Amino acid sequence: MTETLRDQGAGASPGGVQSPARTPVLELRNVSKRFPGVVALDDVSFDLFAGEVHVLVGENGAGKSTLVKLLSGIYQPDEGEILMDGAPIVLRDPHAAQTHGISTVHQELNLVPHLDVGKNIYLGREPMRAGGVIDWSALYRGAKEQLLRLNIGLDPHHRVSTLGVALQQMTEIAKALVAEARVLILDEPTAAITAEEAEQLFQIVDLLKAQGTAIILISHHLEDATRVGDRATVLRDGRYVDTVPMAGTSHRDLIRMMVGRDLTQQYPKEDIPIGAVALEVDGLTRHGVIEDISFQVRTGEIVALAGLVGAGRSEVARAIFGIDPLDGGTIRVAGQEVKIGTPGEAIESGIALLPEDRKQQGLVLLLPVADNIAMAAPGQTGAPRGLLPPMAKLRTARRYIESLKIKTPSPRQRVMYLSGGNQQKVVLAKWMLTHASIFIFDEPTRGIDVGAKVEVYRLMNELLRGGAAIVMISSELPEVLGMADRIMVMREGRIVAEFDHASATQEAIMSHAAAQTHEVEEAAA
Amino acid sequence: MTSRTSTAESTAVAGEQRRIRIGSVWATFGPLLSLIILSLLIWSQESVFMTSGNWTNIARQAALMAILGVGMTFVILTGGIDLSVGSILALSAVSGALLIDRHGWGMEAVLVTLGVGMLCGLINGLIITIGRIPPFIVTLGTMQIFRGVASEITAGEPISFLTASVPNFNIFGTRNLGPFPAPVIIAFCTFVVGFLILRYTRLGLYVFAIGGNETATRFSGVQINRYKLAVYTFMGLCCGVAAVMLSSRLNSAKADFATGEELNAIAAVVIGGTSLFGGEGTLVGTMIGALLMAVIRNGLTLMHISAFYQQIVIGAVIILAVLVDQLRRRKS
Ligand SMILES: Nc1ncnc2c1ncn2[C@@H]1O[C@H](COP(=O)(O)OP(=O)(O)OP(=O)(O)O)[C@@H](O)[C@H]1O
Ligand SMILES: [Mg+2]
Repeated sequence: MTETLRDQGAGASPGGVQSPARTPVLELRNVSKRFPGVVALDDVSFDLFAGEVHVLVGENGAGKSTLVKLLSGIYQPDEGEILMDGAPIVLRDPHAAQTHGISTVHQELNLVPHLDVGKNIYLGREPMRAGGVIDWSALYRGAKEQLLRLNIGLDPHHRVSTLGVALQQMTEIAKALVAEARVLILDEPTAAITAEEAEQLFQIVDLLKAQGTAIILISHHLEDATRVGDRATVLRDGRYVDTVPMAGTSHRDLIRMMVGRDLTQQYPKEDIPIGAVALEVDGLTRHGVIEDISFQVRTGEIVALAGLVGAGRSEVARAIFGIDPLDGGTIRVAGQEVKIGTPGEAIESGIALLPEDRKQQGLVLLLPVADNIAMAAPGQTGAPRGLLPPMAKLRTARRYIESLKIKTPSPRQRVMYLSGGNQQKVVLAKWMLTHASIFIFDEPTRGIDVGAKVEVYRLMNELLRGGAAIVMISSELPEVLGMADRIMVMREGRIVAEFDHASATQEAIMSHAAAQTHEVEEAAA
Repeated sequence: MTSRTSTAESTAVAGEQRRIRIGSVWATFGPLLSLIILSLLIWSQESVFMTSGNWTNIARQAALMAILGVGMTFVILTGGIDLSVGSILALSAVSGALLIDRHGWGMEAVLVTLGVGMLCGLINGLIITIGRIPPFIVTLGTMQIFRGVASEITAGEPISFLTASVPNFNIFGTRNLGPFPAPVIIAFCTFVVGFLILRYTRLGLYVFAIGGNETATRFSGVQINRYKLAVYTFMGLCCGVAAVMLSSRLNSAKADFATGEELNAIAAVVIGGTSLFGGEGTLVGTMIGALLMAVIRNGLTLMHISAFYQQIVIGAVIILAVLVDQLRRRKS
């Protein structure tokens, strides 16, 4: 089925590209957008036809989200113009973009945490009854239907703040779908969800495309581009590189255009000697969330926690790091039992956690890059105890900006102005500076471009060589298979299977990750 | 039908959800419980406290805070604040009274009082939205300005004996409807209107949405400024309503009316469990908050405790209420 859909898509778009008679639904002509110290977009043109999926690719900071924000009325171009159906339009604010039929899922989640899922999905377009009264029952019914279309059986009365990132992302997508827009823009919709959920989304994208919706998709997963894309436009450093049909373009070609060079090895796994046990957890339990979690990680080793979203992987990390209280179990660091009640104690024990939600848990967005990096371990900047002179901060920050290739005009730039992927790198730098011996990475490469991913893996190798142990939580199976020495599969709060690097396969992991609930469903049916 | 992923996460979410629901029940019942316990405590000391006459008194005292509290709840839910409500009240009260006293107006003057209240609120809203100035600063300024205008147009003199020109003028303050004093009825109606707006209209939903995440709400295509304008104008209207009630009750109007009343209104909202950061809270809580403050004042007076001690107690209660609320939040 996928094949036929893809063929249709591929068949439809070259027609659009080749016949100049067809006007694009949306067009950017020679637009530029500058921020203090940064040219985010430099003379970029872009067009989008009805019934096509136009993929936008490029490294972190290439200007993809900026382009999206021009189209959704958040920024106005400094130069150039935006045309709809061939006529110039001005998108003064997000409301104007919506009245023009442009609906956007932004890269950074934009939900109201205290409101429930249903209200968020319909925010700004509530179904009304006579007399200016909101039709709540229609709203919740509609929200439930939208979620089911995405194959999410979530009660729309749930408060958004209680949901994990993946369900929040799905809520955000449902919200964009409700608009039934002519132009649907998806800025990295798949970064926080599993392949299965992504597939669900893509089937809807296929459907919308067949109905004539014009779609822009941004993704660092090139598989996504191949799966649904008709054409791809590549941006590099804010400049337009090329627009190519997806049919007949390989990932290698795309990467070369994005990065400007060939990428030799995607998962640079090294042979690093494995040493003594660095972290040992035994019987970790938090009732209703995780049950009887036991495993060891040795120095020089990467242990991955795989599983579906909601399987309790992040909860294990949070428990070890002292964020959530434990109902039972022990934690041993280098053979010594430690009591960890707060993140501070975890850091003292040599544990570092890179949280999955960088905006909420990883960064102080208003502070400069340098301050964010120095925050967790000011002592490691070389500054005298209790002091943190700007020079020490900046020097340290510069070191990481260079080694992680963080794209920022200066270490003094506020983190909020960095592109999504570069924010993630700042979180990485912050925790690397702690010189911890045990690193827990929760979705370390979420939102990071292909080139930078390799950098992150190299950095992991470097940490391992320096005698660290790594626990990696990842929903990206290729990454798990490519980098982990051992893989624990979690399901419903328990570890249900273990594989080593050699014996693991995508199919085996998935079948363990999903099995149980399958049976339950069948029993229920 | 349900996907595998979501079943797994849904169950995880359900427990969290239950915790939150219990939390929000406690949010309204906590203040209610303190209200009941406190009442029983005062009753055990002073038996007069539980007479219907005294409760009428309490309700009448609470009415002013309640009316202002309705508008203030809206404002605080959006993440804003309005420090100018006392001044708006005074300005709209003296405007109506001047028309009656010097220009021979009749009952229509009441509409002017309401109108002036709304206009002042609108002015606050316009400066906040167009000037993009924080509500705290704007209303700190207009608090002075409105009070100054009120003093100027009355030359600082009280305008008294309004019933001499309009005999019916006292109906909003002193008459009873059945067993209920007019101020209580007015407060109740204001509450019902506010409640219905919050529960059933877009404005109500957006009040929570803006306070919860303004950017997300704007990105959803909601024209935030319009709704903020509506909220501050509604706040102004509440001030106008309170002005009518107060000048009717006192049969006069004065430029120093309701000085400091903004702080009582804010206190009622906060004691009622509404977060000063916006996005979370209830109108019922505010009503209980207003009652609680009135009960404390009344009880302490009955027990012959000096006004100075009353201030100390009220201050402590505000901090305590928020502290309890914080502890509750931290748990859930
Ligand atoms: N509001 C802003 N102020 C200053 N600089 C900004 C602002 N928004 C974006 N930038 C800068 O503009 C450049 C392009 O950012 P953009 O978010 O468009 O990148 P992107 O291609 O979406 O990257 P990613 O893949 O990481 O999401 C980056 O260098 C970023 O730091
Ligand atoms: Mg981006």
